[in-house]
Amino acid sequence: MYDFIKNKIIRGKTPSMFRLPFVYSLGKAMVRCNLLKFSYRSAAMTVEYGMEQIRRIFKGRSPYVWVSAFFPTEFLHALDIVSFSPEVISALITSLGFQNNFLEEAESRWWSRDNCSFHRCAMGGLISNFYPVPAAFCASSHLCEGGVFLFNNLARRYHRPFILLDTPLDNNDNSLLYVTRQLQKIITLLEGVAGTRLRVEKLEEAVFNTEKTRQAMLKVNELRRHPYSPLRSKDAFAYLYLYFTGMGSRVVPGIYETLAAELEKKIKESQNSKGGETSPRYRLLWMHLQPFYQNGIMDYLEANGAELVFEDFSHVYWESWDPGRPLEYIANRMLAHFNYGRIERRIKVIKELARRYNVDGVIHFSHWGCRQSCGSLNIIRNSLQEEGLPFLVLDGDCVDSRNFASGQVQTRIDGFLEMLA
Amino acid sequence: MPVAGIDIGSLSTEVVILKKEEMLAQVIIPTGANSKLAAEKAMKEALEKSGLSFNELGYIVATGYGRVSVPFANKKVTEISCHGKGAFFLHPGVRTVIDIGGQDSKVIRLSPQGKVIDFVMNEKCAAGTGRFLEVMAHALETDLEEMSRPSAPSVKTANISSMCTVFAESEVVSLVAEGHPREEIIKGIIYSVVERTISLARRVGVEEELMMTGGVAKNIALREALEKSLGIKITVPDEPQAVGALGAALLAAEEAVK
Repeated sequence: MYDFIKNKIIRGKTPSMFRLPFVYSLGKAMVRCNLLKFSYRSAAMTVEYGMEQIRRIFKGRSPYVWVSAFFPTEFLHALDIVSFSPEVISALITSLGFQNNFLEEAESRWWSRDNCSFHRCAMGGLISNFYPVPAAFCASSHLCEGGVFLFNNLARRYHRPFILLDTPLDNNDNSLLYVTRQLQKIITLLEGVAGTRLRVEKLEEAVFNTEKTRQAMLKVNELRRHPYSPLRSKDAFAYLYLYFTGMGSRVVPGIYETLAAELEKKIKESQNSKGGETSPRYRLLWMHLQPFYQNGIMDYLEANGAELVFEDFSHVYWESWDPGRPLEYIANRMLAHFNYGRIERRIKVIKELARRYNVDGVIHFSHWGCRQSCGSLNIIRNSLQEEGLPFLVLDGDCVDSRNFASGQVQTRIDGFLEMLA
Repeated sequence: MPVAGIDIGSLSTEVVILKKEEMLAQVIIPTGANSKLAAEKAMKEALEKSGLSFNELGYIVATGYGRVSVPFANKKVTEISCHGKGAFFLHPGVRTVIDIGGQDSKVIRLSPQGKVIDFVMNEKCAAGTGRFLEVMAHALETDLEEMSRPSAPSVKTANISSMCTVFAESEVVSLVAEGHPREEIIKGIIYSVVERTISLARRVGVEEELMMTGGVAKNIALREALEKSLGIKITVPDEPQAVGALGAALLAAEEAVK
């Protein structure tokens, strides 16, 4: 069905039908009736959740805002504001194959190709009027600076509020207080967008949902350590939408709980069946994002006996906190991100994941636009080599396929696998 | 049992036939537009040289960017492993290999046992590779032999600042038009390749003994400039272009006895 949509309906054009709310209602119905096939029920639930969010955006009855990656979405769920993650939607558009139209649109408006392609694609979609103009642009300063500049630019262009959460580098009491105070101000600004006051119990409920999501994610991650766990990075990236926009949603904990139950069942079935899945030749850890256009990297690795058993994006990085203190809970989640702050923090997590998932090597996909992820690779490489872990860096682009050289990537992967042998 | 290694690069195709580590034949031909045809032609020539028939070959390993287009190969291995294998076979003291071929340059680190422990390759474009030197030679209306001639220390170095082969070619044409002597421009071209190679080498670290392989290793001026910049003596085998095919043949010999 996915190929049918891509090859017969889209065919490289920007389909205006995707602006019709009815299409998403139909899509949801198709998911529910199993007309769209998924390896996991929880993946189908994720798609259904995403379709509902996008349907509401095009329906235009609910306020909707753009949120940069890592902006806390709990307030939005509590205020019933629809959150739109331009990065995730760019990834979706790329997987459907019409990203070039938006990239070219942005480039024709002097948006340089040196900028992140997730952002160029998002901007192209907005300036070509594919997306409706949001009520506000909400960005967090941590990890992705490009998003801050893009959102600031767009907010001025469309005369909409620009809501910035400035996240300090150090995770300490002062930072917690600083972020918490900003969150109070952000609530006031978002209340203006929603046209309603935020009820404390709604915010507590949203934070409680995040905590339930955290616990379910931990359960999933624990199950993925099992040698018979079938969930690989290729499938795990399907849940990225929830990671960026689902924190605080009442639907999301259920999706992860369903995934955990499915994994548990599949592991038991594999254990009981005589020909259950055998251990791969090589177990690998994937770092950072993946290309979302047709690239074949993960299938190629799998075909050559290398399984991506975990990806750092799925790591649950924040500790439990009293959901009864919602602002502190959210502030702590912002400050705790392992990719932010000193590089030792990131290295510690990578090493911990490598040990937990018993991997033979690590692959880092360096997306052109994510400077924060690519800037410290030499230090990471040296640290992993001290542990005897081979490390491969694949330079590329998650959205702009013009920056992808398949032959060169294949030689690097082959060389890496030969090194592991 | 005789075995063969075939390395199909973007500019040249090499075949080495071995029997118990004795080289029976070595062939180097241009790849041209069709890598499959080049593979067949090179293999045919190598068999004629060795006096063997195709059926007498016990195992064939293909390498190089065109390794996927060799239908008669038993196994395909990357040029990373093959250059490492070939270099270590020729000089067991080698710990670092710099291989600069037609469109790729790579630096390979080897363990004391000859195993590849790390590698790094050039980024997407062909800057700093054999193709880059060919294009520049063409722009200067000269040949690779002249490009290979070391210049006197008194010769100035023209500044080639562009990272892109196409723009660097325009830069060379402009330098010619401005009246810069040819040897200054050649020195500038050589130094631009050296700079790129060194930055690549420093990513994985250079440990002695260092061997240079690939067609560009034949460029004496470049090799000397690299030695000077790195402060390390570089070993170059008699036929650096065939080291990948030799490594492939050695791997074929290992596979044949399995």
